Amino acid sequence: MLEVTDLRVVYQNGNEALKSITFSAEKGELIGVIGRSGAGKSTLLRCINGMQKPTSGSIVLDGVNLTAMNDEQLRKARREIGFIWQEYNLVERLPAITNVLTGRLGYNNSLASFFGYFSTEHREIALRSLEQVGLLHRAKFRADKLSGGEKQRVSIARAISQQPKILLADEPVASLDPELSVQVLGDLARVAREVGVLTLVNIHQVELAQQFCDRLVGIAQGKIVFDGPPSELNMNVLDAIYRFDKNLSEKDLAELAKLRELVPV
Amino acid sequence: MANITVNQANAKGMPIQLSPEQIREQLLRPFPTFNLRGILILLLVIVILAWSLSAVGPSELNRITSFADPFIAMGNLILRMFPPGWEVASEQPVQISLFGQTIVDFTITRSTISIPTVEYRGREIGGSMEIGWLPVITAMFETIQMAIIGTLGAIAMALPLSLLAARNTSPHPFFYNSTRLLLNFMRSIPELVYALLFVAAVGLGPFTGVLALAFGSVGSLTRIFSEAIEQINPAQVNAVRATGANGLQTFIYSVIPQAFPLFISYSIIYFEANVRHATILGLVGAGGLGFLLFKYTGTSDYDRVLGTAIVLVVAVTIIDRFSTWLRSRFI
Repeated sequence: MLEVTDLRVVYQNGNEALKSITFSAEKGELIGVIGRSGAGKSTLLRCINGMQKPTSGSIVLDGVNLTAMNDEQLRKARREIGFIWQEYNLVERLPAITNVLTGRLGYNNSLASFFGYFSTEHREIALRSLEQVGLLHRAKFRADKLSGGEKQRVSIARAISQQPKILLADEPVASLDPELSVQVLGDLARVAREVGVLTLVNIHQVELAQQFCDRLVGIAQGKIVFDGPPSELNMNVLDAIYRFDKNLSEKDLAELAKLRELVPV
Repeated sequence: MANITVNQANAKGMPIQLSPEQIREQLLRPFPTFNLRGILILLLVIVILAWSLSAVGPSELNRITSFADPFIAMGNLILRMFPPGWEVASEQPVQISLFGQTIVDFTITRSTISIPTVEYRGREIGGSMEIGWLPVITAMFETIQMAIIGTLGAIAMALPLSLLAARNTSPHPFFYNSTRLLLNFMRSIPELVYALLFVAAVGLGPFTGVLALAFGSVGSLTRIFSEAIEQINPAQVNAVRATGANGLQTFIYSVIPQAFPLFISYSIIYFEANVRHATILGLVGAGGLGFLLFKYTGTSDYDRVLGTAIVLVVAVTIIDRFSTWLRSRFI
């Protein structure tokens, strides 16, 4: 379903964000992408969504090459790519339902949307999405009146209402407290499985990723250093993902080992 | 720790290296130090002020020869304004028709009523009094009507223009720069000059005032609207664009909702300002309160000038309160 081949991104300032990323994913998979800040996780998602042009390599989604498109083709392709942002990025002054309906804009006529017209089918889809995240009772609330967890759930509903082929979530729970993080990520995983959509989640909390994802991809310094089920994740792998640049002394290692006994990964 | 670079530069723009002792000595001084540059700047400021005053200060033309003269002249004028008076129209037809159907049709005629005089603390109160329609009320409504339609015209022109004049929504720097240039040109011409031009083009009357107000405020309004558009959060716009919405849809569903409170707020402020500008436009024959002011000053009816001014103050105060309330409903 998704084929990423030899993807490479070099920013204008010469920073090589992605060196050579190759992986493939099937429909319905829930993949957690883990790695340090600046490892290239966000760049990967932004490439799939077309916000970042890759320097070389290709991304093929459902037989369509996303890297060789003009603006109009890209716009059409984006209708089938749902994106969930760390900072929710809801349009704050619009009610929740209108925010979810923006997910249908790509399928709606320009003139109709100018007058705020969405057909009953579009509204049906939007309401069902809102229902799936359990926020139907908040439909008429303005987005800025919602709590952080509710906002992120509305943003999940917005992405789902696009009826996407792929769902990309860039640190969806990084702005939420630990308790809400579990709930919101749980909702995201549940909804994604209900709809059966391929989902890529960038995430910092390894425990959450292990708990909710079918498959984990570890990125370090722009390369994939781990790709496998959560059960195969072990200390050596985590060292390769998170502590590749540390020359740990024996004393440090002993302390780390002590900490690891206290806090199981 | 020998030398600390402070935020200070010498003539070549290079930072001056000062030792901690030098900085301490500078900062401990209770009085600012004067150098030659400071004294020269001070002298220059004094010269410019003296030069300006020499050209525009009071002169023999103002018939001012002593210090007391201005106060006497102003006092004299103010005395002539009291008590305030209002012109009463001899006949004022009142006609309201909707869809060809006459709803109201009557005429208010001036009449004199006599009130029995009452003695109160040694002063006589009462006598005869004229009642009827006050033309100043008609003029006030005309001024407000001019302001409403003029502001709406300005908003209608400013909305599309502000898109081109905002850096983040302008399709191309060419449109951005040419719109800004056009706006600067329009803004530098005052309402009064627009009014004079439109008087020449479409003649006297309130419509001329509407055109002058619309074109007089569109420049500033567009500039403010475009700055409101530039202040929006681009992340929310990106999020809508990422759903596959096209340019127009992204604009309607993410740019407009964010800029909306500022649009409303500034539109109302411009309406308020336009009520006052509409008054000035009366001076060039665009109708409304200003026209009455012009007429009464011309005939030296200073009591009526004060009466008109009182009506203007009351109207502006009411509009001010109303628009503050209206703005608070939108923010």
